[in-house]
Amino acid sequence: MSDRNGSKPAPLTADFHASARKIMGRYPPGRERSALLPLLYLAQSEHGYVSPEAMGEIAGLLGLTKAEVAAVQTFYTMYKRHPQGKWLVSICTQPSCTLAGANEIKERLERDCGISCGGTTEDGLVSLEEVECLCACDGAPVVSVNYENYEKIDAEQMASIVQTLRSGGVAPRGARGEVPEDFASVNRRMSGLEAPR
Amino acid sequence: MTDVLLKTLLETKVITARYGSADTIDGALAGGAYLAFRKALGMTQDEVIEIVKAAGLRGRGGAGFPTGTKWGFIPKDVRPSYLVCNADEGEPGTFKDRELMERDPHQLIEGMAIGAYAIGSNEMYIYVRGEFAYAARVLERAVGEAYERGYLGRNILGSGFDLDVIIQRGAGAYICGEETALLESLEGRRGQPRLRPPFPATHGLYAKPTVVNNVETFACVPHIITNGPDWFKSFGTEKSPGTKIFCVSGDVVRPGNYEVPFSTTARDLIEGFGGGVKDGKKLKAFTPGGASSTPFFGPDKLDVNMDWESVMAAGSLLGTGAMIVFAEDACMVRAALRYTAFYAHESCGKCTPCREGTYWIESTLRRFEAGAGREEDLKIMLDVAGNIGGRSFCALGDFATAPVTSTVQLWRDEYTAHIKNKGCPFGR
Repeated sequence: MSDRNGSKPAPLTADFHASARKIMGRYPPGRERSALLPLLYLAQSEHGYVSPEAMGEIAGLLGLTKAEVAAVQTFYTMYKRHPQGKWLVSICTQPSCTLAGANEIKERLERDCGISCGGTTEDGLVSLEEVECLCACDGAPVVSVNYENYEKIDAEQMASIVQTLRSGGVAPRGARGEVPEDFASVNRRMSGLEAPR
Repeated sequence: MTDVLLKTLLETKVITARYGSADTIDGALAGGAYLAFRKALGMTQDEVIEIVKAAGLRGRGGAGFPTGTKWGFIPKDVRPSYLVCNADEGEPGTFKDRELMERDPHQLIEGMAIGAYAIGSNEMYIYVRGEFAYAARVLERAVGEAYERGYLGRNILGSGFDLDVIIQRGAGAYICGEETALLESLEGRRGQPRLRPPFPATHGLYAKPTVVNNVETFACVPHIITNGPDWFKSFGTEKSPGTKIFCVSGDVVRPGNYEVPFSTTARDLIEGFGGGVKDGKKLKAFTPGGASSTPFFGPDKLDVNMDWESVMAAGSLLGTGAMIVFAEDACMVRAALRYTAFYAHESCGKCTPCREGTYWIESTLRRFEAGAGREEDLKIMLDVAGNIGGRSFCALGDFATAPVTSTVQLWRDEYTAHIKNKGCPFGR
């Protein structure tokens, strides 16, 4: 597989390997495989998705086969098989959000971006996806940008946020008072690299 | 009854009491955090387990298994043992664990620390749902604070007890809320449930004795240690003691998390706390405890007491306490489709009846919504549902069939209307 420019992704960086060793060291001796999920996030932060090349390198680090790594990577929806945009917009369409108008938001964003859920805009800035319950139903409808929630939001407001992101602007603060980080940063954080131990 | 009066009578803040003042460890300490842990460290391990048993604390993740009993199963002569927090909240309509982690993270860490001490574990894991980016950040910061102040690490408070914690993020798989699937995921594998026995109590994480409890369960523990079993049992019923956070959402005026004693009625939660159905509409249906708690209830079940025994006696399950409310103009075929699509997506693929059956039911429900449903499809869906139930490894398959079986049973006329109307007559 190749990235959107048709070229193979660069090998994982020296920084990746240093961070990987740190993460693997957290688990009991002989249990380094527990680092697989964190390492997939870390690889995703470098390539914008989990590339087959990255899976090969991770397999080597953990003493697994590439097939064993791919079996795990393909099981979990947060590991992407294709390069994602800088901003991953996830629309919850479970019951409470559906009752609150999630479908209108989905249709509006798809129309504005000219893509369907599962796709990425031509400029590589925004990916859209439909997701299962984000467990913030008191704030329905819920849409997240790189896992930062926007709650009780309507199609017009969400369309404006996506427009801001596509024009290179900064998104407003979400429901927890945080501004979303870009896809690379949030995936790096999700590897647990910054955890106290 | 006025809303204010109802709130005064019923709202019982135990595990939500420090919301708003526990963002930092100093705020949490001012509210009494870690006093219970200090007290527990002065007891024997068995004394701690006996107190939790005597309080009758039951797991808040859905199954309601007695927590003290679970802890008592851990063999004392096998080391290491592990304590794991299931923070993989994903049940549609549930949003209590996320809030507990975001607004009082030290309460969770303290409850876990007491549990770890009780079972003799020096290593604990918090498996937090991947999408909960903010909650995980809050937890990481809180764990850092707890290490700095000596509530985690070596020789805690001079007791000789050592304890470490690892926060691990999931990566988008509802099934990892099932405890053995969670353990597989923690070991770096696909999150597919294990065959039991052996149970996690003897062969859990890395095949070592392991306790897995839900966030809300751990949150109750410090309060039980501080105030004693009798105080805890003064809330709720004999078999469902304590308080419970109910997550009220959907077509209600005031969606939110409400902590009340077990056995509060659904009416008080939906009409009192929730403010009733939005826009003056009538109630059509509600889930008593999340997608996995179907069959749905209709308005005739509003006076059911929300505790494990009463909800089960009324024909459903208390589950996680996720109450989604549907107004009179909501389409129950669409509701069944949303839930079934959820299960079809989240089926781990291990068992054929669940993997293929949920796919077939979802496809058939989509036909109804698209206007191509046929009378015989109802029979086909019930037939497929009958072939999933009881034929899968874990409970997901069983739960997946209830949205369709219960809506066909209670709102068959809506399916018929979809056939006659050649599409959805509701639009929401």
